[in-house]
Amino acid sequence: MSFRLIAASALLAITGATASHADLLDDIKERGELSCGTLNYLPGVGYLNDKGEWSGYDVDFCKAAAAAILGDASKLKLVSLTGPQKFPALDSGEIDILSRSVTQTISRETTLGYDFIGPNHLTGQGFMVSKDSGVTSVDDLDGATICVLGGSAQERYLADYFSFKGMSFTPVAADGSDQMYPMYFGGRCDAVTQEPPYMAIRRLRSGEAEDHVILDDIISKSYEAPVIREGSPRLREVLQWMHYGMITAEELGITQDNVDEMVATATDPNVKRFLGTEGTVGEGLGVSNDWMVNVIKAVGNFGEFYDRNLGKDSPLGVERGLNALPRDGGVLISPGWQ
Amino acid sequence: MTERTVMLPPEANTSPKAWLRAQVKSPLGLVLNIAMLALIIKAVPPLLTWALLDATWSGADMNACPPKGGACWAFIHAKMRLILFATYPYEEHWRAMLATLILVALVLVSMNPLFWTRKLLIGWALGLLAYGVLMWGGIFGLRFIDSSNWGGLPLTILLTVCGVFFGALLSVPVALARVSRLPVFRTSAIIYVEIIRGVPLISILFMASVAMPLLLPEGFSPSGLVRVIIGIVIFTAAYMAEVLRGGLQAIPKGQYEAAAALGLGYWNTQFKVVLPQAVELVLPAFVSLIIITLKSTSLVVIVAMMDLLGAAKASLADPNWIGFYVEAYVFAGAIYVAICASISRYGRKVETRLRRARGYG
Repeated sequence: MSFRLIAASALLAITGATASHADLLDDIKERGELSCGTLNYLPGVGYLNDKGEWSGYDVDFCKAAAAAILGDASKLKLVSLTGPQKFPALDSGEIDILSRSVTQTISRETTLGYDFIGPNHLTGQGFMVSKDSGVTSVDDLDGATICVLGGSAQERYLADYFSFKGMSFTPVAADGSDQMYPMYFGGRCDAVTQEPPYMAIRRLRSGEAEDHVILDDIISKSYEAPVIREGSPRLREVLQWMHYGMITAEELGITQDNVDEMVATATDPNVKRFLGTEGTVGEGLGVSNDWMVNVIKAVGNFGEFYDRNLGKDSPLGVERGLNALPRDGGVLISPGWQ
Repeated sequence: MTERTVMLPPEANTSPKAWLRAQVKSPLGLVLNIAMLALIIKAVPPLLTWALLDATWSGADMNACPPKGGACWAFIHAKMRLILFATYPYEEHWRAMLATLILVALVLVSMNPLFWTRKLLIGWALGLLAYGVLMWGGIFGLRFIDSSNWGGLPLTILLTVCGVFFGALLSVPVALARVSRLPVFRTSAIIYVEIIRGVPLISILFMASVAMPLLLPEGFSPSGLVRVIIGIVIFTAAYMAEVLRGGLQAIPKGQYEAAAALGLGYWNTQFKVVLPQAVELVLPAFVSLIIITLKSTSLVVIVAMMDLLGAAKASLADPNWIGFYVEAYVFAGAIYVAICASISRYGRKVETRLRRARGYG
């Protein structure tokens, strides 16, 4: 046996030993635990409550995924990641799913080799100015000093928008919201830019709410989505259909409270197929047939999921906007469950 | 015989009037004192108003604290256990507290060279065993808690103790190599020390937490906690080795010669004669390094670990409590000040006791 052959077979043994399954879905089921990367500093999205328990929109997606794949939302390991850590953690296999308000872009999908689920949060970037300034639209902000989160996608969009419009501005980059808003309310900047709901709650807490106005203009759309590595088509299918399933549950009026009753009493074949009392939708995906029941019990339908974390049942009170069913003026749709 | 008068020093006059006179003796002193007084009058009342008079002490959420009001201690009241213990399960906080107390007690005892006996080693073995059992659990009916859930003050103390302890262990061979006459050892020690001292801790932590998992085979990576501890140990050891080298060089040549005359070999000379004296000499500098390490551990925030400062930061993200960053940082800062002050005070006390025991002071 030549040296080269020995080296090659040793290498094969090493690499072969680690890549145990073709699809991450089987690895997760075998391990019995889902590992999910998220964040711990965004109100309503990913944070710790008084008892140190994970809460928020992105965290609930992880809970739903654990419920869908393993039948139990508590079989979940959550890892808090900073911006620079998030993709290396996904690449190295430390986490299975990255649910951390990642903006879906074509370059991330193609060049970086990720699969995006959803997108499950449609939002955009707006501006807040003081009423005295007389500014009524973004185009009045030529030459303004603007507070923005340093290193964020918003900083880039802001520069793109102003150069496209041929306007000038002076950016003041802040390290986090807790630095940015005191700077804005302290008069360092003429305007501040972020997603409107976050500006609204800071305005409320500033003690001078009536002196500031949030402009109607939204300069960029930011469609946020959970991410997995490319190469696990079955895991992608389960998560994508879980997203559709939460939308479908809202369409069908299935909620956290009535799901057990629906399982027992449903007669509509569509509902029965959806809840797994009839047919083999779940088995086809590689999970249990009652998987959507587990998801709804864990986090509710899409409306409940949104309202509890960001919407009307949360202190943030964000309007659902685009994140609603077409019948309510939104764009959330689900393909059929036949 | 002439009468001899003994001149006694004038009795220190401690009356308030004399004190006041001393403060205004020189024009410069007068100006400085008035300026300081003005500063205090300007700064202290608003601070007290904010921290005490206008403060809100209890409430269920942020609506209890008016915007632009005083300090919102209700926030600290609600978030205290989150800041102190982060993601460690709420019902099991007592375990983390007990384990940390054991660790602190071991460290306090170990800082005093008078206690460096075999019994201390046994104490450490038992203490660390108890620490592991309490923190991880999994036996004796205790629930298993993964190290990724450890956080808050226990994590800060664990990182400091591990960094200092393993750093000190690693620093001994490095310092010995650094003063060795053999070029291979000396050169490698110099390269290690100079590279690590030339790189900020923050980049070592980044390497440990971001690059290390990519370099290791997929699916096999030590937990984030272990990776960060390795980074801190490598960093601390370089500084400790340099401090220890200073101590080694302060040992008079006669000590080596006496050891050689007694027929002691290299290792016996180092471990029985030189190192014990050198370590006692550098104890004050070591205490400084412990304090520096304690404060440096707060950098693990950038790799998303929730030490005390990280947990304080995490407590700011609750949508029910928006914008109380001043209170959170004041609370965390007060804890750091208390710990650092205790360490340095204890360090001074140990030094005095040691000097007395050794009979030179």
